[in-house]
Amino acid sequence: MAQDTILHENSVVRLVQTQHTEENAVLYNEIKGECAKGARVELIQVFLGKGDVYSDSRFELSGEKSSLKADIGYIGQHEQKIDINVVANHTGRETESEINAGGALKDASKKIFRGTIDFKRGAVNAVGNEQETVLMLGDDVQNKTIPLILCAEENVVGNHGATIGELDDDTLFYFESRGIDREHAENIMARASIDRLSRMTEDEETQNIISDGLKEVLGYDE
Amino acid sequence: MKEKSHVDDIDRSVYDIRDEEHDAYRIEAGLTPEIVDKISKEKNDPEWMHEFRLKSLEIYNDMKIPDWGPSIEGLDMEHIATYVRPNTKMQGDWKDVPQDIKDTFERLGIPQAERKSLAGVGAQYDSELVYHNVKDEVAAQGVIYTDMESALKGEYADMVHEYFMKLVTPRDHKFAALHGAVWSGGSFVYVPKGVDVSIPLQSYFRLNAKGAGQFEHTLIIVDEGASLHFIEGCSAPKYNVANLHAGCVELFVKKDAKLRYSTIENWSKNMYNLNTKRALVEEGGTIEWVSGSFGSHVSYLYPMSILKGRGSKMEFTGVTFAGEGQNLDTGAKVIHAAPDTSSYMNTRSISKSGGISTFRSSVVVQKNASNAKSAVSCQSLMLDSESRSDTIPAMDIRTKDAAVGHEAKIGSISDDAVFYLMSRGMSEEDARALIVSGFADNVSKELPLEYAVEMNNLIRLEMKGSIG
Repeated sequence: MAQDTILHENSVVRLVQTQHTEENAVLYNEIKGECAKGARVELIQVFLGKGDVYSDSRFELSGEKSSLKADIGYIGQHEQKIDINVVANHTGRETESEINAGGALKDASKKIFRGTIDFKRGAVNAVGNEQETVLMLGDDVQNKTIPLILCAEENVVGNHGATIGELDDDTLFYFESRGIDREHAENIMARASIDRLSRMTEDEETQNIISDGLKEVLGYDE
Repeated sequence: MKEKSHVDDIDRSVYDIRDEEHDAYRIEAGLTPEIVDKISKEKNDPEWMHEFRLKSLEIYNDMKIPDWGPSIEGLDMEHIATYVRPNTKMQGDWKDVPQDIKDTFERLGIPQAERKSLAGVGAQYDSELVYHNVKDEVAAQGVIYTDMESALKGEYADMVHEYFMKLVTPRDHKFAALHGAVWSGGSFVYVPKGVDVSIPLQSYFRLNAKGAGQFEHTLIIVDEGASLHFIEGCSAPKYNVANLHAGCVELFVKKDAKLRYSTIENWSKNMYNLNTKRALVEEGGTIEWVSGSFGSHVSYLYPMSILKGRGSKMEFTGVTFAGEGQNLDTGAKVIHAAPDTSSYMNTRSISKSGGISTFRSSVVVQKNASNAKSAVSCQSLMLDSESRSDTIPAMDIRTKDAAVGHEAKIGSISDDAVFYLMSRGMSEEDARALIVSGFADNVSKELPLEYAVEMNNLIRLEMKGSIG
């Protein structure tokens, strides 16, 4: 599956992908985008399937004040492999990128997330942020997170952060003090990372698809 | 129009003074089994070491040059002399060191530091130690601090044989294999059980010879419940040909022991610094790395900690300053291989005048490392747009019972911060100087005072700016 997108001046594209691969299926997903002055890409990706996923998204922020906002969610299960790569190349002045990834890994699933914010020379006053939050639920899960910031321009601000682990004690205490056990609390938090994206789609049909996928993966219907 | 703030290069005048070469012996440039044989014979190696060197050379020849970091195309082993013996034997009394070598180390402040604040000093000049001394009261505690060659042949020979290049094997990478083949010099330290060495030991490595390599080996064993602070310094004058440093540091931190390993690296800008450092930490043990990287043309330097024992800890504090003509690829690695282990990395990078600074880290939490905790924080400061600053962290987490956090920030000097300070009466020059020097404060505050002063001298920042 491949998607090439060229955004002309001040145009906005919202690309929503919900993917539900069957067990033993392999999904290759490639997105390329190029943004002219003032153009904006909003990418929402939800990976809820059982098959392996290889997703590569690259965006050229070449026009002044062009921007990217990428929100990515996943639930890994069984022995699934999820490999996600997102690249934001900042060449234009005052360009912005924001990459947020998050999800949960169950069973023996494996996930790699690589996010690259590349400030090329000339990307004056560009801003790039990326963040990933991974909830580790399975005894045999493997998580790799590689958030890169490459910088050849002085006047930029780049931040990245990552939080990886199980539910922290404070959150767990909060849930347990309200009668919600650990398993249910983990389920709520895993669901929340996807529900956030579902709401962002602002499309009822898509929200129903995501909701059905969540029921299948997490087994609860909140 | 805003005038560009100016940050001076590090003042290298003290480090750049060259001595005339009065070598007692300089091996021909290049790397062949015959050269390795000659080094082994010169050093009167035991047979196992001779074989080890030749085996390492075979591994070196079989391995590829790394293709993932800064270019080392300018390094041609055919033009590197791997062994240069100065015209003196190792002395235990500073008076007996030849005058020119003594002058060099005195300019660098080594004997003064020994008198004031060190428990022992080793000074290496080119391929061999020229001075080694440890204070009587420290020796009386049973602490062994000697040169590697003496340890290899003396009463600690079995211990050296047991530990030498077991943590960093020649198969680790091409330049570890090179080290195994041609290593010379360095220090051996053993701190017995329960001994707290309250003042630091220091080894200083000076490479004076043009077109030569330095391959010192540092082996430190801190036994159960003991503690030590070891300081390593290094410098070289600048030549117009490549020099090479491929040292190796192996640190064994036993149960409940603690080791702090501090380095101020200030090689000249023709140096390829391909150094390997590694620590193995057992139950309840702690390794602390403090690292300042200022010199060299190209650096690949990532001290690695293997947290093997339950409850072991690692802390890494580093600053890297890359100026004109420098490509410094630095960072740290940690492997959590036991439950309840913890690690913390805190680094700063500064790039200016076309310098390239890359922070590279690796955090691996193995499946058995339940309740492991790791946090990484790295910040980079770009002082102009000719320079480059990259951040490449990697996290590989294989247990759900871990808490791993990472944060990084790249930016320039904040105008808001400058404005804030100026609104409180500071000049712009002072405000910018304060921000830049404060940026590197994470390392200087971890060093003993004399070394913090040396580091601050290294980053002698002259700020000039105005808003028009």
